[in-house]
Amino acid sequence: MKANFLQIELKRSILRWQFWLAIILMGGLIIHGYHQAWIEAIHGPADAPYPTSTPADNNAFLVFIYSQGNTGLSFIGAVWPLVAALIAGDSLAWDRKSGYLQSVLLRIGYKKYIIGKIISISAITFFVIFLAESLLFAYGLIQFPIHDPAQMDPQYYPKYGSTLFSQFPYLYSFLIIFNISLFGAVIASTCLLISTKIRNLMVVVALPWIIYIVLSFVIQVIGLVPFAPIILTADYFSYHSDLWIIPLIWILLWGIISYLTYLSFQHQFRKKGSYEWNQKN
Amino acid sequence: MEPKKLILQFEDVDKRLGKKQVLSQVKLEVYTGEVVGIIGANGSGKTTLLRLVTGLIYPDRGSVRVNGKRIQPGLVGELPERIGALIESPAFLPNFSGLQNLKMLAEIRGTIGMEEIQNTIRKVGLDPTMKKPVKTYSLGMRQRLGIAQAIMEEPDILLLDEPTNGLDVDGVEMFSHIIEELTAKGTAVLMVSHQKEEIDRFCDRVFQINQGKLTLLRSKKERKWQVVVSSLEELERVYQLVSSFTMTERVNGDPTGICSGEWETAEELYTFLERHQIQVRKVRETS
Repeated sequence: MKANFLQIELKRSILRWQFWLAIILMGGLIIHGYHQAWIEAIHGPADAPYPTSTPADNNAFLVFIYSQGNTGLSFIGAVWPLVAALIAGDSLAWDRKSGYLQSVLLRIGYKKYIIGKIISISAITFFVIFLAESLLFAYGLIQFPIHDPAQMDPQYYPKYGSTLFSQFPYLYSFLIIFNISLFGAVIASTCLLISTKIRNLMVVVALPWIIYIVLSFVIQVIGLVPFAPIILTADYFSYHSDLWIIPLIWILLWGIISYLTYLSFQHQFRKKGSYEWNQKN
Repeated sequence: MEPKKLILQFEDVDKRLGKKQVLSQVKLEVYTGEVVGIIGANGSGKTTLLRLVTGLIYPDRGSVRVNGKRIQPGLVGELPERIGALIESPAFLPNFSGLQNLKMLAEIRGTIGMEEIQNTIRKVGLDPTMKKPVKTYSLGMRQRLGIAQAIMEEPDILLLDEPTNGLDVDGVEMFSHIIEELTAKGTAVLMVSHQKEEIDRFCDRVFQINQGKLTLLRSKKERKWQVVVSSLEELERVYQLVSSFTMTERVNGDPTGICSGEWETAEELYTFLERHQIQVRKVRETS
């Protein structure tokens, strides 16, 4: 059943223009980030917010980490939620808006439906980002020189997981890809949560992005800068943290939001004993 | 032929939506292989009645039983029998073709394959190879696809809301064949409409819904009969005997008319007319 759901949702996602817009945005902005990092990290001004390095220090691994949206070298950090939401986040809103949900609910229990939806949409977003990022990483390996980070000046290391970066740069790069893919799953489940209340597709796709920006601002204002979403997704150079912190935060958030989505959807069928009535009011 | 079995039962069902009492003390039984029609004005509660069967809404009082099992909260999608439904306007994902839409729905249950889906699409008069997205379909094409969606998995209970809405003459004929085919296999059909002709044509038993209450209008399906008699005097006598009788063109020079009624066979009507000393040349069922 779950495999069926995954297949259907994947097919639905791929056949939408929003999916391809997400791929183009991700590819374009990360490749732009690569080249921006390559040029500026070598030739940037002395007072640049990022460390400038010599060509010998610079390498494909370092520019890949920069390309994820660090300190203005890439714009992707600012639009990650939009990219993730475009992949498949509007699926439930489409089902509700078009009335298709009614046809689906004649064939599957609503609990199975929402659980299948949460798992499949999160998994699709996770794997699409993982695959696209892996291809972009491969592009960086072909495009830029590969130096052993252990030979680099340690001042240029990212602060998040610097030991892993210096010793196992490939593994480190895949950890970054894994983290951002998990973040994608969090955004996907946020879209589903919003869709249980709102059927406007624009709102469903854009609201997680607005929440991301507002939360990042508020969290930084109250002094918890390392935990601001924009720092967790894009800036690996400014703050020290254990390797497991970022994935743990995303996994916990995904679990909480998914559970809330389940409760909110279930509530539609309980309130006044009438799903349809709630759809109209 | 298998004996008819009670498959759907409404027992003193009350349903209120907001401040409006939509259904009140509704009792209804539907058996396998029969077509039950409910006629009523807009907003009279016809669609609510269908939705209660799908489990998307629940009765405030009384119960709805499908094959003896009560529809209750949490049962939606896990109903005891397979239910096909076309309720209000057919809803599909607008950016996908008809085939893609049906395939995605069929994959949920996984009981039918591509061949059955394509056959169903052909059966409703659409082309399964058509790549056009559903958003470009006309009202009639959407309705045909909606019918295909409802029947493709050969449901035990078929719920239809204004099923011929937007269909042309060929479409109505196609729908008529589908209903005959399904009921012959034992499918129970519950059909609601505000069009009396639609209900009269397809339904065995007919109810009227008014202010939430259900009243039996007709307990047997009315069929149309062509009656050929030997003289105009005989025709005049049939006209006086059968209120629905109307004269039509002569057949082979003999006076002819058409009437409708609950006679099951041509022999039944023939005997009825003979009993009233009317000399009948020929009686046959007509559409």
